[in-house]
Amino acid sequence: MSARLLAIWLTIGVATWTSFSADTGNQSASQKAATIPLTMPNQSGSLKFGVLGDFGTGEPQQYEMAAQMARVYQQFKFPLVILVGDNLYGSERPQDFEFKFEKPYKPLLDGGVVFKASLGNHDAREQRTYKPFNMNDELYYSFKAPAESVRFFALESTYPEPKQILWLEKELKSSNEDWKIVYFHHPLYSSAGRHGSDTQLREKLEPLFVAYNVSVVFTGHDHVYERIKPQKDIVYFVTGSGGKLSPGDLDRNSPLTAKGLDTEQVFLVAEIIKDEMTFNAVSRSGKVIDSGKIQRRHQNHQP
Amino acid sequence: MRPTARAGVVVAVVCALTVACDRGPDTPAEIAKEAPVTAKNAPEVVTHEASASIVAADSSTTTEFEKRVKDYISLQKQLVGSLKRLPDRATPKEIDTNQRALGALMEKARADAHQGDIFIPGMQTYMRGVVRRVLTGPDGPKIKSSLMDENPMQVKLTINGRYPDNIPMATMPPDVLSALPPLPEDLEYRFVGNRLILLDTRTHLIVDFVENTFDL
Repeated sequence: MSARLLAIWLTIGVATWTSFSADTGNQSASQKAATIPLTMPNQSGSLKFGVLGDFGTGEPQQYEMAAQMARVYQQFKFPLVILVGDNLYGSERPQDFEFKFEKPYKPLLDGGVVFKASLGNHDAREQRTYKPFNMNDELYYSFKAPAESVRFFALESTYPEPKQILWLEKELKSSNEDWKIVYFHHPLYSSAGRHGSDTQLREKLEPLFVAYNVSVVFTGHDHVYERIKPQKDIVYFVTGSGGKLSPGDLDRNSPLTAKGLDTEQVFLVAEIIKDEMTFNAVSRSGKVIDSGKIQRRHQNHQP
Repeated sequence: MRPTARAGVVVAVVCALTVACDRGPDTPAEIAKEAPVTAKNAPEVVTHEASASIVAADSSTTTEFEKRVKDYISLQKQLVGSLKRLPDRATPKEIDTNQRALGALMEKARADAHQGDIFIPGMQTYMRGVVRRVLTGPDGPKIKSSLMDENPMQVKLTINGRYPDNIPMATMPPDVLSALPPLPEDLEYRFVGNRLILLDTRTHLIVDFVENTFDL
């Protein structure tokens, strides 16, 4: 090896090793640490829930992310996790459900955490019959949260046929809950390069969200974490890196981004107390990479 | 490990990560699986004025299409009834076994099925017209971009054959779905490349398809 090439390697290597070591050092430290530095109110009687997307790879990174979720659960007992689709990748044989879902999330399942899934483009339709996903055999559905005045709406965005859109409008209109939270797979807003914003879907759904007082929308599909700056007073999240990851895929110059991460897997926890939602986004290495508070919308523009 | 070797390993890892950071699939295995044309590199829409107008399906064509769809679902229901009922808390193994058993029964019942059995010639013309109209409309490029996102270009289509388990399905743009004739539950339209397929979602079988519904 020439001296010049060796010098180049050493320069890059030292610089990289420094940051790599810091990262692994912190990862090791945080994994060994008793707690993750959450900034959640953790109040009794509040609604606590998690958000996870694009996770079912069966690979070590998914398991490591799941382990962090279990650590978070020790501190912050969320009884509910909403899934934004691409729940299983590749084959969906019976053993895949075990390996890509039941095993990594066993501590949460054993603790009685309820997962409520929506489907992504990698998911077979019969996942709706898989009881641990609690879809009640429906492709799209809504449910009242176990605490606070919150209703969730789970959509099927790979097949947004007219009857689903009509159903959504009817459900949103008839919902009297203070918080309306919608989740589905394809992001209406995203700064990732691989898929990006689904503007066709946005045209159909956003007017309903605005008109019927939706406060927060969670999506996946792009394998990054991104909190979008409020769009027409609604906060959008891309939480598509629960197992999958597209490193470097976020446009660093996007005017949409309030906060983003595309170097590690992420899942999100949230807590609603009356008119305020607090959230923490936790990375695979156990860092809180995003946090904040969202006030619910009060506007209700009936068309 | 010696520092130079460690640095070399790290650089190699960085280089490998840099390659993986290209806007595309995450792993080499994914690259092989997800080679299709994506929204980012889809060719420009070519507008054919002659084909942009719809040839309206006459009532006998749509009636016949609806009848054949209904007959298919009736057959499916009949075969479902012949299988052991799934328990309320069916396991993935039970669900999978039931689905494959139903698929086998359907394949046998429609052993002579061929292209055009459901999408009769008049409906094929109509479907092509509908899709082309939507894709050449004012929002055409946006709709096509949505349609081409993870569109599985290389799936081999066989009537009465199973849609591949490992290949994700293309997302259907809402404007296309609202323009196509509605289908009963358990049947869906999907695109494979520029072919519009009729998919039985209970059995994963490809029921029929229409070739060349738009220009790639």
